[in-house]
Amino acid sequence: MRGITLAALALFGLLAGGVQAQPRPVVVVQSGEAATLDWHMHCDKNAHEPDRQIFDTLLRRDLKTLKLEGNLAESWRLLNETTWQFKLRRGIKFHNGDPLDAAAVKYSIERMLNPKQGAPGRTSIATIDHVDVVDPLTVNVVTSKPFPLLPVRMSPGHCGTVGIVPPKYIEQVGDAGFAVKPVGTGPYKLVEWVKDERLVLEANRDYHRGAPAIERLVFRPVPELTTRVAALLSGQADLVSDVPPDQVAKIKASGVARTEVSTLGGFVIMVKMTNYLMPGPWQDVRVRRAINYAIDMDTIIKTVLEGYGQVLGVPLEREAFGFNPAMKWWGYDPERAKALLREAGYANGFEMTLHAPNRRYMNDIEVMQAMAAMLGKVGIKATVQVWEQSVYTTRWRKRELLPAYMTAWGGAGLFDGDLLVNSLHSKSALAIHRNEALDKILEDAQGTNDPDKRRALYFKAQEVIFEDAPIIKAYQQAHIFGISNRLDWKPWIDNMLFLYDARLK
Amino acid sequence: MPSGRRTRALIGSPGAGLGLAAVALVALCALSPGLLAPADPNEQRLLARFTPPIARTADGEFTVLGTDQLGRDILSRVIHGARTSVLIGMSAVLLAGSVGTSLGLTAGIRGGVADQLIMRLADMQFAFPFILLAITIIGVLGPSIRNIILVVGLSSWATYARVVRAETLAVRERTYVDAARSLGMSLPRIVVRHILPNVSASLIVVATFGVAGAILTEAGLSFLGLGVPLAIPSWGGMLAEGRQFVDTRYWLALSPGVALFVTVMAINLIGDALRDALDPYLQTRGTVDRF
Amino acid sequence: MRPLCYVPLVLGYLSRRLAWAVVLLFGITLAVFLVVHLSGDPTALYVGPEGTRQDYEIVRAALGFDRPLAEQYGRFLVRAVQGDFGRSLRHQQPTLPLVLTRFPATLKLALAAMALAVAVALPLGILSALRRNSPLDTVAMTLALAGQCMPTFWLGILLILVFAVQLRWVPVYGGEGLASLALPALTLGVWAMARTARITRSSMLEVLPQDFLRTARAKGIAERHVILRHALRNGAIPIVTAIGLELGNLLGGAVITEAVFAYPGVGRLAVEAVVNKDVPLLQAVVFSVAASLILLNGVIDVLYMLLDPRVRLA
Repeated sequence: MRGITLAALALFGLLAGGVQAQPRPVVVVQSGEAATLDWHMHCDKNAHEPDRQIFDTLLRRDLKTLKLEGNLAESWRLLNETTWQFKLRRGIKFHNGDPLDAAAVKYSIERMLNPKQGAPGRTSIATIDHVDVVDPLTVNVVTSKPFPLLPVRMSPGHCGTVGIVPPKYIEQVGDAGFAVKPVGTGPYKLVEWVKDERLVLEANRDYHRGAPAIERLVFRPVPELTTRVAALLSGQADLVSDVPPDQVAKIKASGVARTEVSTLGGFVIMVKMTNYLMPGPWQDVRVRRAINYAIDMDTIIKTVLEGYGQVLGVPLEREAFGFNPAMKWWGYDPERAKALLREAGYANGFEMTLHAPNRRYMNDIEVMQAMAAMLGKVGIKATVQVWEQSVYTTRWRKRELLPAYMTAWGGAGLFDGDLLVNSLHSKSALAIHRNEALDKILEDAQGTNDPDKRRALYFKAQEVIFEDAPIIKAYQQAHIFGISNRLDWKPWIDNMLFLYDARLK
Repeated sequence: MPSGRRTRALIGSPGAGLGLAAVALVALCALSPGLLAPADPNEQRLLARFTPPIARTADGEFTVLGTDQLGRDILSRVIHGARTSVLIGMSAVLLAGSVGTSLGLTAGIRGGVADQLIMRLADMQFAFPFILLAITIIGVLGPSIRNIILVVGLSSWATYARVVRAETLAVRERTYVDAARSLGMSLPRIVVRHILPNVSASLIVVATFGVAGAILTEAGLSFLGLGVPLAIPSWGGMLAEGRQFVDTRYWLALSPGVALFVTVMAINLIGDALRDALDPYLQTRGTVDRF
Repeated sequence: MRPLCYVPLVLGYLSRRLAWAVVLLFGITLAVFLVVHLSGDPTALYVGPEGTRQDYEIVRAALGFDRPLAEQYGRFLVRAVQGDFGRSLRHQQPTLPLVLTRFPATLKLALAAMALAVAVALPLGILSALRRNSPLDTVAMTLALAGQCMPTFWLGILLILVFAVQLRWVPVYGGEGLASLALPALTLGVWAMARTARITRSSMLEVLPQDFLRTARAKGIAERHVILRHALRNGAIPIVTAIGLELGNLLGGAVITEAVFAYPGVGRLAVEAVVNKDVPLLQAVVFSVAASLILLNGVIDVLYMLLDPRVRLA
């Protein structure tokens, strides 16, 4: 008997002991696991974060001015309305030694364009017609019509941007091989990837901007938020993104970690309403304005988001090209909301469903619940319906999240009025609102390379959006990062982790 | 065992007494939450978020158990949450119990192909990982109390079927059933008069643990984001929502946690007492489904 | 009891079980297939957010979801028989290796949880039975009852906060060797531990008053031997049943524990497959888990027979 008890104790001791202290690499914990590391084959934040270290793009943005600057390309210019020329930097090599040349750029762009490849970001660059190799360090990208966004699509971004991949290597290992063992020109190279467990990267000594300061990075998927924060506080992890506001005080007080808040370039979050896919009061513009009047977004941001956000109105990043800072949105005025509802013939209110994603954006469920309660105060009985992620995406795509659903754009480095196309052009896959005047303006803006014309058109688009009120007050969320005290790093403006500048204190 | 002794065994056990008292309280909350709760469980007061227990909120109201992340009154939510837990626990068990009992009876009485078919179906249910069934069904049909009941019910009927079948087989062989049959008693009557009363003791015990299991299951589903809809307060939902505040604002998860713990414990205590009183051999069978 | 005599019986029994297992697995794959397709095909998840209708159709055809359901299932079956469960939609890799590489981790976790549970529960249950109604009994059984009343995720989070963040005895996740298993195994094992302790106690209580023990004692056999050799052996059947059932639960049910502790096992793969409607991956996961549960049940039945020849092999 005593023997068994002792054995049990011994076993427990064994289990509990054995923690080893050893110098360890910088550990980034993520909410989920990448499915593929092939830059062209995903639109997934968790895959983009490691890929951002492994791959590189022709251009990049200056962190302070937001201006585009050369990266793999040292210069670029518009030859004519439909031809962009890029001159590559000399001497850059892929991690396996293959040279970065014009052929690799041509291959990368055309690979993404090829419908058979099935790249999810293909549509974003579909205006590109073909790519010509001029000489080993010069490429011409020819578009079928003016494509003002082309340079942006050649700079880092989450989805629909062109990462440069090695043609010979992909031919050798095939798409499936490349997905698990990618080779790029980025500051880190892949060492090993044990799915669901760890993804290990090692400094690329030959990086064209010089070797990064940190020798090893480990990305680790940890689905549970409480566990991610616990890992940071126990000193096991160094970097956690998407920290909710209520965890900030705890992290700050821990003495082992701190938080960094990035207020620039965050998600633009909005609740879209339909005006044609489902019959109901929301088809009346007065009702949509009334709904906007009913929402006290300032209070929601102050309380539910604990101040980590900013009311926008027009669903465009403040940093975006074409954003009109003078634009005002419908204010908070419940009395006017009620008056408008009476005027529209809904004095007794009505019922509506608000569809919400499950923890996709900062405290999204709580924001939606607060909105529903505010709508209740003007007589609109709103019910919040939360959907599990895959179902949300599927229904979203089928335009079944009616009459209103929460979504977000931006936060991915695009910084352009073109974002309005994705969210509000009626032909966009995810739009549920139709306004032909708006469609026309947005199409015109896509058809010219002239920045002044584009800006004017986007300003006009914002006026139309304001009058039509197809969304409930948009807001931009801040992004909160938890960072261990030994790590010196500041968030990059696209809020995607880029750790080239990081160093250990 | 004579029924007088059963009753005494049940009431006499101190654990069961405590359990009954706790369950009575929960039942009271479930029956008339509106009468007991001090406030509307869904009423938000954004400016009074995170008020600790036994304190005044920023807008001057007294709260016993504090407020949550939207300024809702936690005591009211716990009281209303009792209804959700009881509803899910009871209905899931009723569903699983009635499906399982009918199938178990059919298998036990008819034997042959029907028996084989039903028992293989039961095997299938045992071998089908519960969580996959749960996510898929709720993912497809949407999260609602009805769907949770469906999932929990569907994933536990086999236990009842097995117990009932085994008991039926045993009863079938007994002489009084033979006698009834030879007297020309119809099959349904034999079932109602002789077989059901004999299996009911085991069933009641299995069902008691089933209620406790279903309540815990609801909590687990909430953790995975598959719990009841937001507008309906539930202990599992509150516990899941409160988990990230466990070390900073303990009161969000403490009250629903204690309510859930005490209720499940009470039901288990009653189940233990019932088992001791009714069927001492039943304890070795798998009774509660869980993650 | 001479186990060897039962070998032919066992073999015949096993072949019948095997035939049923095949039918069962077939049924389960069909069920998974139907349930997943109830919600429509998963194409939408594999087209980028800006994709057009045309992109949608291209992807749909590439994934084979444009074929009739019967044909899709037929193709699946034909390949499955050859041991090919198709490629994961999300990982774009063969599914079976994905599952099999994670299986050892889950098995390790389940076994560690079970070992921990048995190591604590068995002595506790026996001691409680021997000292019935003593303070030890009361405390142990109250704790055991309490262990069955706590939601798994809750226990896991509390353990992390106390042992990994406050005390820093163990890592939150990962780590080397047994350290990585301590908290997840405890979290997963508590339920089984509680259950096994209670069952051990009650089986022992049933066996202890019986005559053969009195005889054994009268023969002068040491009390320790009486308990461990004679009493425990006779009370073993319900305990083995319970352990078997629990091990099945642990294997198929580590989902929440794996999520809380970021543990790289089959459970997480399953959730991921469901969330991404990755049908081939889901099929492979369900198939392997179901197959191992069926195997486990077979092993337990054979164990019964060895423990107690009177058990009828039906």
